Amino acid sequence: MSKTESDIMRIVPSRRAVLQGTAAAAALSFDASLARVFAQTSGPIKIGVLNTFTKSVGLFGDTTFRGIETYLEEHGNKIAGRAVELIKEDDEFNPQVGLQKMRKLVESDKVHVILGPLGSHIATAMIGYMKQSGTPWIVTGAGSTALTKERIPSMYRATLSNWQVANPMGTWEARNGIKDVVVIASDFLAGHDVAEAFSATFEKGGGKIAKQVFPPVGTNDFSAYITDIRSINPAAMYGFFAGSEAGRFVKQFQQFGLKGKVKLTGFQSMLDSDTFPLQGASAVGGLSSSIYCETLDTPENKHLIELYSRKSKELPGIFTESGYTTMRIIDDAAKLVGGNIENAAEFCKAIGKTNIVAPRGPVRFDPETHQAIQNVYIREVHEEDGKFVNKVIDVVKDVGDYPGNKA
Amino acid sequence: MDLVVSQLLNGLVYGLLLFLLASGLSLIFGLMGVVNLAHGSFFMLGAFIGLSVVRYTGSFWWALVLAPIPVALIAAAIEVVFLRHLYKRDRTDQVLLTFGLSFVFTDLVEWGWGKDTFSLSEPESLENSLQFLGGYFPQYRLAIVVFGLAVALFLWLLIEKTRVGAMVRAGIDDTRTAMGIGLNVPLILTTTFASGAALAGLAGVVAGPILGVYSGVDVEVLIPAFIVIVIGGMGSLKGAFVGSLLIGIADTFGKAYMPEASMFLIYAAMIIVLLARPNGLFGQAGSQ
Amino acid sequence: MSVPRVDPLPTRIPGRKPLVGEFAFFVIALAWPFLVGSYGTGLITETLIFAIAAMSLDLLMGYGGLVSFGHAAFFGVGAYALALSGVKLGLNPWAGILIAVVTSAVAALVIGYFCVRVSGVAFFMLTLAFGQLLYSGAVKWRGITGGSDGVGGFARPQLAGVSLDDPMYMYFACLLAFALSLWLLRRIIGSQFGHALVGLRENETRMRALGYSTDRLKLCAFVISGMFAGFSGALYAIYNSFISPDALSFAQSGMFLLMVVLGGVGSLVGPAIGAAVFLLMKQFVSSHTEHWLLIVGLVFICCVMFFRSGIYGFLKQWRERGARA
Repeated sequence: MSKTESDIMRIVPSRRAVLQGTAAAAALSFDASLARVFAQTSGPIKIGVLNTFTKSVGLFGDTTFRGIETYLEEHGNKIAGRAVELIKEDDEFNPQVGLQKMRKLVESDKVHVILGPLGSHIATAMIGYMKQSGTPWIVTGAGSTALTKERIPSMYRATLSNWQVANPMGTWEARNGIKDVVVIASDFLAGHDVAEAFSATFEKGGGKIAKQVFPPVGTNDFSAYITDIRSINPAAMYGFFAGSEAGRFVKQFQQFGLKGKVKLTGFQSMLDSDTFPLQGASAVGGLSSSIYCETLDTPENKHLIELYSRKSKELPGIFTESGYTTMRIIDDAAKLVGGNIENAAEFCKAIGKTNIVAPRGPVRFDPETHQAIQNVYIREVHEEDGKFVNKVIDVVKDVGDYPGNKA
Repeated sequence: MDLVVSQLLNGLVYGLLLFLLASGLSLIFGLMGVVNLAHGSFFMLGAFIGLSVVRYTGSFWWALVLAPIPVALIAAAIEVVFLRHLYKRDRTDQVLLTFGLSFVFTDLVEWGWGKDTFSLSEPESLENSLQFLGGYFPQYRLAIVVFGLAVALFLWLLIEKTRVGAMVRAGIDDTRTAMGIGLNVPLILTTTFASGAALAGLAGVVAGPILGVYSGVDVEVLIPAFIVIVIGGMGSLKGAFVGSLLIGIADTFGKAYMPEASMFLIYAAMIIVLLARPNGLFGQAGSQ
Repeated sequence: MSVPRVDPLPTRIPGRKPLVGEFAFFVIALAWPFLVGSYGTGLITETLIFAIAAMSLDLLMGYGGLVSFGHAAFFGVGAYALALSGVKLGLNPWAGILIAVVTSAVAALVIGYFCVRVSGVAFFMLTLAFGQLLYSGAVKWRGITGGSDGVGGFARPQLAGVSLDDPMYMYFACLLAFALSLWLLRRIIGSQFGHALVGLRENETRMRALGYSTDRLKLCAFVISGMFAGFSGALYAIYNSFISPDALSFAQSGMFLLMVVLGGVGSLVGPAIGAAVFLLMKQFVSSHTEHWLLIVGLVFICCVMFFRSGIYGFLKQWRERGARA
């Protein structure tokens, strides 16, 4: 029955089809939770991928998706013996759209698990609904620190928390002779989150925050801000931008002559394998902190690089790795429950038991807040054989969730 | 480089980009009375076509020269097929038509090139930064300033000093009389619309390396362009020039030093001008 | 604005069974949630909410002849008023709706006061400017409005003992709201005020000569229209349990304009149909082809050029032709 259900939901309804098909589905579709428990476990596993595939951060959604595909291709498109159906939805980096697509995935497509989103503001908007719906939800991109404070039982964050990554950088910069910093971040939830986390620890380490600036989301021309930073002339700047904004900012930073004068440091999405094609040589020397580094010399990472090289001539970035590792987590958890992921409660518990070595290093979940506990790497951009790569210059091991999130 | 000077330069760059766009808009309104809500779409089309030209020929300069042509042709077609029939009707219908067209263009652009944000690179010869007045400034942006001022001069000469310009001015000032003395007004109208669109397309290519090329850029630039011509005076080239520079500089300084208030203040200024001096700073009284 | 000769007061036309269409509509409307799942019900709920906003714009545009490019301002103000009164002041959503309607009325009063003093091009530039002004306020005023992140986290209220969390009950509540709005708007249009407004649209000079204060009439239209838009905005905030500055954007104003013209300016029911067509097309066409916006744009252009009475007018002509045959 679940197979015909999914077929019906996918047909474009002509009036006839709507009345015919949905009448048949109406009996089952009305009480979604019942369907979840009683449906059989041999149909395809439906995974809803809610991410941003357009706008300036679209490239991160694309690479996340490629990471997911990489894992599936490696495993014959099967999870715990069942075929996998990926349903891709674009939230356009807009919470309103994201909510609509989320509803569609849960109510219309009836996915077994939702992956995503990318934007912290979208994730925050989703909280109320997802809490109610109980659909397993694995966050693959959004890092808002407060998300894991919500204690949603069916949610796990398999990626970073903003605090987790920005915090160690603040300490590191203060300790390494950087006296003052201008913080510049995109004017939305994640930008402010990261700015706060970095600033707090940087100041605690004895540094001074010269200024905090928040350009609107979607800014393409940073000339006014960069000129301003130049006049302040801090030792370093710490930036949070994503996607093509990050690309543009770093490039313009160099064009206005700041590279070399003011140290370029930032959040992981500023200086990542995905943004290097846009930035080129202007990124060299930039520092960032991240849960992943594409040049990690471990067998797991080498394996991912080899697989990914079949899909792309770029090295995997943080989002590719996120997609890949998230699928591995789902696979392991699904195997643990014998493929019966329809039983959402058991499936979620199995996810909680994750304890693996991923390309990024060891990953396990905080039992209270469901935040992934992992290493944070301080990375520097180098040029190597004509390519631009991040290299690890320091590691902070086993970083957990923001202490304020725990009871 | 002195902070104020650098920021002024930045404002000048943005202002001149706006001018390239707003001049066409002002011309179209001044001569045809049409509030062209598809003007941003012409900008966007120019940018995307420019992107393709660069992909095929590898040359930014070819994009600059070639991209405005298809945009002008499309605009001319629109004027003849759609707009022409609406002149007898209410002004509103023309606005609504151009509004509907903007949706069509957005979709066509996404169809043709995709929904991503694309990068149009500066020409290689202008890739570096110049050591200038004690600071660094990207060559490309300096080139924009030079180019923008050149276009402004060219347009001014064209409108004020040539016969073609005189015809256009006649058409703006008094259409019926212009027709009465034998000017081929329909041809002038089509040409004006197409020229305005070509300017917008050109602006799209020039702005590509700075603002990016993506399917939402039409709305991003359309609204500032309207602010410019409202404040500067609809139908006035001088107004478009002064207005663009004002807005460009205000936006730049506002972003850096008054981020909370700058957007709000600019719209407030627009409202005040509309109420107190509906013809803007330089618009002619009674200009439609 | 030159409005087509669609009967603005949908009443009896000789030879036509008066209530068959409406009756059929209400039967389907009542049965709908039982025919489709919660997702389909949610879609129609959203449609009803937007239909109210579209109808409110029609009052201004179709009957008042005032084409506004900033209507989303009132929609958004209502939505934020509800959201903030719940989140910041802890008020229940019923008080929130009242506050939303009052706030958007005040906004309409202020904005309308300025807008009615100008006409033509300056008028729609001004409505656009005010819309953008409020939009920029919502985006920049992070402390109050949450900036581009928006405001969320308020639950749906209870109505007569049942929780509106259930999509079916939410749907019926919105259906009720829609029916109420439609009825009220029809009464307003049929009233003396409504007739005066139409007179104003037809010939402003004559109305003034007859002694009407045209500015006052226009302002009234603004305020009433704004109130219904604010009401719709509040419902939208409740439906989504979330609101962001997009609700005030130029794109949103454009969407309302699109719905009105698509459905049929000056027909009241038309814009409701326009809202349905727009939203449902977006849903269904987009599973088939990505180019729903192209199609909508083309239909819109056709409406502007040829079918001045929109889809509703087209359907009426069709039915009349059928009745005559």
